[in-house]
Amino acid sequence: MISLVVDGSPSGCRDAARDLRTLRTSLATLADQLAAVRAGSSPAWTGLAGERFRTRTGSVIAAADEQAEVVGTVAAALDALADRLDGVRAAMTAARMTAIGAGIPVGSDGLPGAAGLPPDQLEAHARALAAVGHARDREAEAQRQWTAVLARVTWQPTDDPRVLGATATVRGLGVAEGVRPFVDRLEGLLPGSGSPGLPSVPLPPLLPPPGRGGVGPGVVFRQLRRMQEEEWRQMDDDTDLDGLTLTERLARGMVMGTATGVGAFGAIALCMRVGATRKAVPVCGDVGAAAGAKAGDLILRAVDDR
Amino acid sequence: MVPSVRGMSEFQFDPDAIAPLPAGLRAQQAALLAVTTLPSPDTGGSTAATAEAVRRLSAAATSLAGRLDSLADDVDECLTVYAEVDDDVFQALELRMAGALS
Repeated sequence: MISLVVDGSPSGCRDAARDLRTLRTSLATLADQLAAVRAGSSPAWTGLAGERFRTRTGSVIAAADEQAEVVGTVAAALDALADRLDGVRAAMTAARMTAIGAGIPVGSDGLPGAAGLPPDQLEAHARALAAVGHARDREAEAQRQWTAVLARVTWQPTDDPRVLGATATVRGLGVAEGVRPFVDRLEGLLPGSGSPGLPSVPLPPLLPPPGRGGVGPGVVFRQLRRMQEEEWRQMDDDTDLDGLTLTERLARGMVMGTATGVGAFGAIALCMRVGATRKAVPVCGDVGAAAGAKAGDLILRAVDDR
Repeated sequence: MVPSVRGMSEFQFDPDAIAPLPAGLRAQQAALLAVTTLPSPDTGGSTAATAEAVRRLSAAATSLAGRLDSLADDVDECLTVYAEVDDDVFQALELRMAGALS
């Protein structure tokens, strides 16, 4: 029996997307209203306390804006998933109709196998089978795209080897008194925080197996340069943050650089392990570096939220 | 009652303008809490991951609402502190002025 069942409820997805859009609207409205309150408080409340009120209000506004953006993205993706599931179901119905049209006995949930069918039904059965295969491909792609969006919401630092790499790198800075709280918060992202020693980073080896060729120096230097650029970019960005010492900025930059590097070289190693061509390997590095830089952003935000 | 205090520092506080803020913050908190209960749809093979993501989005919004409530409480406390100190300050001011004029 070849299943024609498509799991998931498009109407349920659309209902949930609608509720998410309501939440997004509330969050956006909240951010707007708080921005007005914040601005309106300036002439009525000056001095340190007033500034602290506006700082806290600003922090809530930023969080509301960020949440609104994420919730809106998830809602749109959920609608897209519903549309794709509808498309997969329509393709399954078309496959069923192809089989029924040829007189093939189709059950409620699936097509029969080809064994035992008369020769004049085999061609229609093959077409129906191909249509089911295409529909399953589309279903898998829909799920892949949806789970990629979910990953943005469900990202956990403890699942991400880039957090381990970044922590290991900045741990050495922890001896500097000013940066210790940052390193503590970063280490606090990891399971068993406070315990000495970090778990090993579960990445594939950078060196390829014997006989598989190596990575040219250009590929390595390109990613080293990206690490440095990301580190400096983060330090530049952090100049706008109040109260950060140079060492803390350096630590934050190193988190970003390390996450980028681990992403880049991890991706390169992975591509080499699966036999990517020499031309493809640098591209793997670029993609991994970009993903690593995004992870670096997530790490810093997670640390800031602690 | 003088609506604001301004001294040598940059501090200035207008209680008439600030007093309505906590109620406004709590109204915003209530409006947000009213929409944080989200359904978790059947998305097929990813349903469990979807449920976890929905739970987190809901928890994040609820946490944000909590921050509004906390901010409202803290502004209330500022107003209380101001009112308590205000009487003392003006009483002392009046006595000093009366002393100067005696």
